[in-house]
Amino acid sequence: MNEKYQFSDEELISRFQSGDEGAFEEIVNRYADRLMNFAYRFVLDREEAEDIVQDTFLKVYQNRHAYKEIAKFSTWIYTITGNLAKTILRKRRNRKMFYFSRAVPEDHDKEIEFPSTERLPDSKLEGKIEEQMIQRAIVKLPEHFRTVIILRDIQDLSYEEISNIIDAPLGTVKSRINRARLRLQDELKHLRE
Amino acid sequence: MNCYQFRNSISNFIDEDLSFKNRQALKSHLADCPTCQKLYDSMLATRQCMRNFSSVTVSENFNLNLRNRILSDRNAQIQRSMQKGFSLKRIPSFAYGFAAAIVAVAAGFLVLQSQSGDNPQIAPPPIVQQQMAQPLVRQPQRITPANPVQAQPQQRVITAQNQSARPDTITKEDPGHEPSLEYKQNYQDKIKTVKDQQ
Repeated sequence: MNEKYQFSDEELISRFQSGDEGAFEEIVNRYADRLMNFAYRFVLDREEAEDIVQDTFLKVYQNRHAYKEIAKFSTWIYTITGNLAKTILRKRRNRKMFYFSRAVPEDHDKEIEFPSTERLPDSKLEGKIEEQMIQRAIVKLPEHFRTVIILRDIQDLSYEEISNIIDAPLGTVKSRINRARLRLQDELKHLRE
Repeated sequence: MNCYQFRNSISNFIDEDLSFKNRQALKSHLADCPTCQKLYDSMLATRQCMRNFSSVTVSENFNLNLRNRILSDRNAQIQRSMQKGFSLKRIPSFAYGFAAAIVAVAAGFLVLQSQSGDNPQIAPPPIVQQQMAQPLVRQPQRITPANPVQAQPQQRVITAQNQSARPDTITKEDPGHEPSLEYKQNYQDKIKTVKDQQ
């Protein structure tokens, strides 16, 4: 991944730790969209996803010296984003429980937000519908399954990287990905019926 | 291999994370089992579709917003560090406990001291007792035949035997201590008396 760049991620964060603000901008340019994809697939809300990514970079900026070069930088930054996304989901759940307990119709629970499918050729339209269906199925997965399936099948990270991000042994990661994929197939079957 | 074993290894099969032997076993099971073949095809298609998901990008104002947030955060930090004056919030919580403990110990010490001053049963230290036992000024004592020395054994008599108890030896030990003028006169009077007796 870093072959196309002059500096590796680890070199950039090292330069940033030494006071080079330009290195931080380069990190933002490299990771903004990747993290946005990850956060969006997790929370399925564009605004919330962007807030998560902003918070991630703010945390990186504030805690730049907390990063030690024992782990890959990508692992570190994905861990921050993942934790922030989980916090958002937890808040959302608490808000749901609050409205439920007050027996008030819930206005704040946003509809799942998908890109518009208007004016698309048939083949692309089919692809979009399929994407929406899979995304719906992903959202229905438990949090630990959702994390690994997004990291593995959408972000295309290796087992080792996922293992470091979720802080679990490699064997656990493999079996969790297997169970997550099987569960996703079950959810898709229900959605297609 | 049965369907259960196949389902347990399907993910590793897709990710090509299996040994050659296991891979062959899975392949042969797939050829015989249409249900597992269907599951495998569906999983592979889903994975392919997920890889081709439309990319979600950050908004145009993302960098600007981030820069503003960083700047405001930095300003807030500077303000916090520049904040002058006393604020109770800046004192760590353990400091309150520590201060309370010091006050309690000091109060206890004062109470104990005041009680020891009032209580006559508590004896002063031995060195103080010794100083209190010795009279500061000794009255000159005339030793006459009518008032022989033996008749007053409790009185200290300066003789050749108890020369060591004389105050001048104490003066040698304690050079800072100067015997008073009155004491010197008494002492000389006593020497005179002894000489007269002799």
